[in-house]
Amino acid sequence: MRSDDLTLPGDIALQRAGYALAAALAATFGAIVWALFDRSDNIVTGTVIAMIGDPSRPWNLPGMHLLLVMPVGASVVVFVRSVLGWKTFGLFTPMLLALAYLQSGPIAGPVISTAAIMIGMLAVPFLKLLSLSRVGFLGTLIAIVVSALGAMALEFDQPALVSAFPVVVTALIVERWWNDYEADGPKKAVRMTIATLGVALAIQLLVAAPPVVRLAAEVPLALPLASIALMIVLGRYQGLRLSELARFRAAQQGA
Amino acid sequence: MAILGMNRRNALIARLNPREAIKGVNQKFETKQRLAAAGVPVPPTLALIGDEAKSAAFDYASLPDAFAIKPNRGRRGEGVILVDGRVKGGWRKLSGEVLTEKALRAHVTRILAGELSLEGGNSDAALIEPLIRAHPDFARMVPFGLPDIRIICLGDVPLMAMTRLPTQESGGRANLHQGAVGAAIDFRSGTIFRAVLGQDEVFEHPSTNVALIGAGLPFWRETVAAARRCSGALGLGYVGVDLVIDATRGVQVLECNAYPGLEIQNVNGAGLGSRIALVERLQRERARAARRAGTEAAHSRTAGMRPVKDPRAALRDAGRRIADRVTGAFLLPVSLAA
Repeated sequence: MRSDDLTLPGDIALQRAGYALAAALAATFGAIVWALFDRSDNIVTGTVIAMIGDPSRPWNLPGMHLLLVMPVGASVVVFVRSVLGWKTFGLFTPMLLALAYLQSGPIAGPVISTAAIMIGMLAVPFLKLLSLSRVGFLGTLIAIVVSALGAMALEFDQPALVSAFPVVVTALIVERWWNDYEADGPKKAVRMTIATLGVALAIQLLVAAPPVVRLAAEVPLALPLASIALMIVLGRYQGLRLSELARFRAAQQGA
Repeated sequence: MAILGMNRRNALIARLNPREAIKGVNQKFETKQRLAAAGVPVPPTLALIGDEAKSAAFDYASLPDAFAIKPNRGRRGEGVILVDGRVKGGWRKLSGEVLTEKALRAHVTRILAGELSLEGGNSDAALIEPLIRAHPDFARMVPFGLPDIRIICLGDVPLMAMTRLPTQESGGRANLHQGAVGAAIDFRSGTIFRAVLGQDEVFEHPSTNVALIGAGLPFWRETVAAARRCSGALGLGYVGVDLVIDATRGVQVLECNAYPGLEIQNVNGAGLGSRIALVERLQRERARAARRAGTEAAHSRTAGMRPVKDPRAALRDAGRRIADRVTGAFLLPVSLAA
């Protein structure tokens, strides 16, 4: 039996619980951001710098490098989707996210974009109440994310932390996250978030690794051309995905 | 490759399901017309309301006591209202609430605005059909709700079948992810041979405790026959056909899916991949045989040769002819005809 009752009392309770959880997470994360990037002389900042170095240091990669490693990031995404079978938000969101990381720095990138995503996510339920059109919704979300990033840059007095590039990506991720959260429930949405951020981190570490940087500097076209070959091979892969080995265990036993 | 994975399924669909055909099955009414033209039993249409003017002119009071209203391009059963009785001021929904005519009109307006349709649509039509009631053989297995049957077909060859039985937990929905029981059906006998709830194999229905293994389905031959015709009628080479058995009308095809899910393999405890490979190999062999027969027929017309039916007899004949001709110095030590 199908029904038109789409908002059951349980769903609302679930949304409230999810929202409370997300707010708590964002608050914790905000504290971490503060500890990392607050420039005033205090013991926390001192310890952080002593332990992991200056958290706001940039990658210092040449501009050309970002462009050349994009196909490498794309190959990683293709591999993750069709061989590992992990679901991520959007097709190439992890790659774009990784490029956003690269613009800000090894620690600042992931931390700042995650903070922006969380702020955007907390804003969505209120935007939904206004029942905007999709473009209006996304536009407002972009402005909110920019406000959050700008406020962070001003507060920590580090304009370099924030670049224009990640803003739209962040807004799109936030929108996708809420759609998936409503369609598939919190478990799947959280799993997809972790996969997306994890793949983005992996791409960042891969394409900023010294051998890759050296190769891109010496033979600029090697990486994109190799990626083409690799993606053609991966794109033709028709075997089972790693995740499907577990999913179809019941079918495999009988077969 | 016994199991069909996402990658191979997507490649198969890209090869066998044309874009136009995929778009076509999203429209329920048009799909029904195409299926009916091919002789597939589908639910009758009480009304198709295409725009506001038609909605204003439509006499809702003339609807029967039990009907279903759905968006023509709906997704996942969204926006479907089921009513099964008339009460003062309107109808009674299956959930027990009252549906007034005003509320029904408002719902039609929402459907027409495309609010309940697949993404990318900003207008739609409202489809009204008689309410489907589960056949007693099915109804006795479930607490409430409408069980359905999914048959995956490669062309007109049925590959795998299951029935989805709603449970208390699934809220009457025949959806495996929402907690319905999936039961694999044996094609030859039309009986259930394996049942699965989530990841676990079960032997009886969790809500009604009715034994499932060995339970026979009504109208099984007709069910398979209806499913086999869908592929040709809709132009989909690989299709998941969703059927129900109505208590009075019998077999009805409710929906055809151009991207049928793969969970049916876990329900059956078997892979689709090997079955697809087998069917495609047989089809290739048949095509090759037909081609060979075709070329030989063509030869026989042009060069006056008959197709060789029995190679050994032909060889013996040829040998005898040569032996008859070759004599004297060229006498063969052994007769070829021996």
